[in-house]
Amino acid sequence: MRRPMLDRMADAVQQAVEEATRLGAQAAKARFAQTEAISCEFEAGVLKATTSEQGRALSLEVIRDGKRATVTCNDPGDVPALAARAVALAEIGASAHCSAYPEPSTCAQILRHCPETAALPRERLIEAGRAAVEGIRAYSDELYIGAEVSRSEAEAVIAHSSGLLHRTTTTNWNLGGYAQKTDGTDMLFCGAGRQWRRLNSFFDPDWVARETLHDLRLAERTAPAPTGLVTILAPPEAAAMLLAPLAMACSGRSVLKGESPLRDKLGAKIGSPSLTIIDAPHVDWAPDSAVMDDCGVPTRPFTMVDRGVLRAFMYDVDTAAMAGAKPTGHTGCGPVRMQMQPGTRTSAEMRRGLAEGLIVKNLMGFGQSNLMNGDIAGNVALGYRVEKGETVGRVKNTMVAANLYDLLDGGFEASSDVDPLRGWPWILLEGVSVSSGG
Amino acid sequence: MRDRLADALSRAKADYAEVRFSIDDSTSVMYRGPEPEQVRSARLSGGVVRACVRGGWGSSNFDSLDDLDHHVREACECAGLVGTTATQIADAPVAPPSEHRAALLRDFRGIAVTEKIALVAAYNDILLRSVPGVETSFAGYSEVFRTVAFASSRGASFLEERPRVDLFLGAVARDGSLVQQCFDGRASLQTYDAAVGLEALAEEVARRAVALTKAPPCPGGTHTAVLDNRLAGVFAHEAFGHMSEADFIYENPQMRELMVLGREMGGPELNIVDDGSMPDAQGTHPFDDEGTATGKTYLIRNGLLAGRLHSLETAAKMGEPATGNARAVRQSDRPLVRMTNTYIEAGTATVQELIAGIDKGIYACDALGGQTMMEQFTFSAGYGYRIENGLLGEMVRDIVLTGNLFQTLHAIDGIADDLVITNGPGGCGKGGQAPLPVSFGSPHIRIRDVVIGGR
Ligand SMILES: [Zn+2]
Repeated sequence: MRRPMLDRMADAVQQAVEEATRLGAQAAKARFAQTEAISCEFEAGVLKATTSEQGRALSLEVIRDGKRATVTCNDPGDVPALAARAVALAEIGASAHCSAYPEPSTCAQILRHCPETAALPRERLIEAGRAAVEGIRAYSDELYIGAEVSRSEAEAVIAHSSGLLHRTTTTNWNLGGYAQKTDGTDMLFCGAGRQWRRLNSFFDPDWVARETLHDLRLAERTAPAPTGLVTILAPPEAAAMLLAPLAMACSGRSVLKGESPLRDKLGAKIGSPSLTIIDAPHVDWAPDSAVMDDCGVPTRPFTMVDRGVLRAFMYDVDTAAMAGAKPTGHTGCGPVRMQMQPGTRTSAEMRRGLAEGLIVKNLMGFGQSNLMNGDIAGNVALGYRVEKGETVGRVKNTMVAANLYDLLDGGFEASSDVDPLRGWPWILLEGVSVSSGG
Repeated sequence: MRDRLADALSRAKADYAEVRFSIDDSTSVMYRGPEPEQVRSARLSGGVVRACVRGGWGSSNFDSLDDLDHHVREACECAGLVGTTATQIADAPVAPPSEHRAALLRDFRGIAVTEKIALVAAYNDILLRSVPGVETSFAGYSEVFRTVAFASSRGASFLEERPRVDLFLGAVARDGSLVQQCFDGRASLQTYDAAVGLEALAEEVARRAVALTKAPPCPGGTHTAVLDNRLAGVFAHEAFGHMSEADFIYENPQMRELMVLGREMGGPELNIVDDGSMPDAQGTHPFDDEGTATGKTYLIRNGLLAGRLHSLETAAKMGEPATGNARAVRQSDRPLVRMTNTYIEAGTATVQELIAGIDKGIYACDALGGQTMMEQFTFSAGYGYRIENGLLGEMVRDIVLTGNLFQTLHAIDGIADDLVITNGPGGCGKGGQAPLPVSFGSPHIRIRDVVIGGR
């Protein structure tokens, strides 16, 4: 950090909480965060830009007489004014369902700050980006190649009126590259990217190039998409995306508001016995790992779905109070780091067992459908036809559509091999509706 | 503030440099179900210095002007690490030193937060209670008053106030385990009154959400489709507009060949325009975020590719005029080539004529969103109807259209005479920057053989 502020801001957030309480708030919570980052970007195969970034934010949530409001600024100089604005706004604020934050309790210890990541010099980022670009260029001089490499360091401190004072410092790096191949009006996009908190062997431009080249080669041939009700195989990144509706439906708030299609399914079977979904918030160095939610409630390993049976919903402090449930350490009632438990066959075995199927690597337009209802749909931005167990060619102009809950309860399977960073397996889904314009 | 920016820039060691600094005052209120779920206010500042040295770019962003000299130096140093050739920046006229104060017909800053909460509460009540079958609701109001100061080493210097109010209405209906949603809203840079008087719209949103629970899914396959104004506007934006952004093209020889001006894109009736200077639209500003005046650009004229959207760099590198389309979303974002207000010009047919010619097809209405990856696009209608023997039939849901831009533009075989420009909430996303305020518009259009995903 060019200018570390944590010591000063630890005092400031406590002062904000005290000031809000003095002005009549029953409870108050303040958080300060500062981030610094550098990055480099390659466009058309050459270094295009390098950047330097810095940002700060101080926010204060206040609870007063059953109402709640949040005020944010990035001038940490004027804490009393911030507190006065928050208390005034809380008078006409949103409904608050508790009048105090939970007492602080012991949290897990996880590794999140890597000095080597924080010290990554700009030259190393440029070197890595260049290596990724050159690795992809080995395929062809005709490609349009881009890459982006960055590293960041952040510090944050949170305090609330039930005695919490917690500091965190984190680091992160990000390394990715892509290629665009244009042939007449036919365009292919592929690429790969990773992020992690620790500088280790994952920081590997060759991996970016290898993954990109793999797709470039697989996509050299095109094949007609199988249509009708089709079995699809989704690699880890796509699998995590396709399961997003489940996280929405397991939100305690969606359940309480009546939006969740799973609201009355607790204890019921919602999927095949091979479906187990957990929240794994304590993985060292994983970018989204966290030890507590935004109110200081410790996070913990958590099972949403156990062998097909819906086990639990996620609750933040306010929603838990409203529902008469216990807070589960989930900010905004969403997962910290959702994962799927692996199965028994490898992804290669799953593919080889397919007489006909579709590998869906990337969907365009995912999220436009009614995700809350479990409706998933999209255009296969990158996908391959599988025939007699082999990947035979890229499909084009193809749409997939299905209801996730129907799929999970059908012939669903997770692979035994998982992505080392995300912890997700490949998944196999039977009965996905596929239509194609050829 | 403008002088301070220009002064700091005078010490920039770069071929080109600019600085933008903004202060945002924002307030938002959101209901979800019967209760107010969120009340927030924020005052945030932020900015970015961008420099170009020997054709390479550097930038430094920040949230306070305290250290501006450092950020100018940092941006120039960053740029110095990159460039190896020559800086190319279009020689377009620059924004003269000027101030553009907001001229709000009714200024939201003079209205008490309690009144705004009451407004949202009233809409929320309509959403929840006017139609049986609504399970829960979303109703939100947000306002932001942004003050932007900009200066560039080319002598551009302006201060602009950019107010915006958004009103968002959503209903969630349920029938057994089927959950359906409908959203709508209004946005305006002109007046708080855009958020007022939307009771009928709230009721319509509730009614449509409930109707969708009774509607079957749209059958998948290849259909002839009539798109309503809003969906056709999203189509123009998503499927074609993004392709005309020159930063996708200027350094890519194959793309330059593909998007060569004069190429036949569609029938002679097809005209597509981007206009950042039209009154009362959300993408409208006097200058873009490089200090270039905005204006009207024909992207397709009489079916032929006629122009594209540029920043100063892409214009210089392609030898085409700068169009004033370099825009940034967040305070510290670097500007990218973006659309402003994009629309298909009116044709001559009536909507009835478009539908009458179809034996079996889909009338697709409203847009839930869209995405594009160059020539492939996909977008989702909010709802629709079957067309049978030239007449509208039952309502259908889950309509996702996809296709290849080049084929689809040629497949437009009817353009109605009813152009409508939509000013809704939300906006456009690109390169991690969203939501950018844009408007889009179109008359009803008919497309042959469009692929619709469905079950
Ligand atoms: Zn867009």
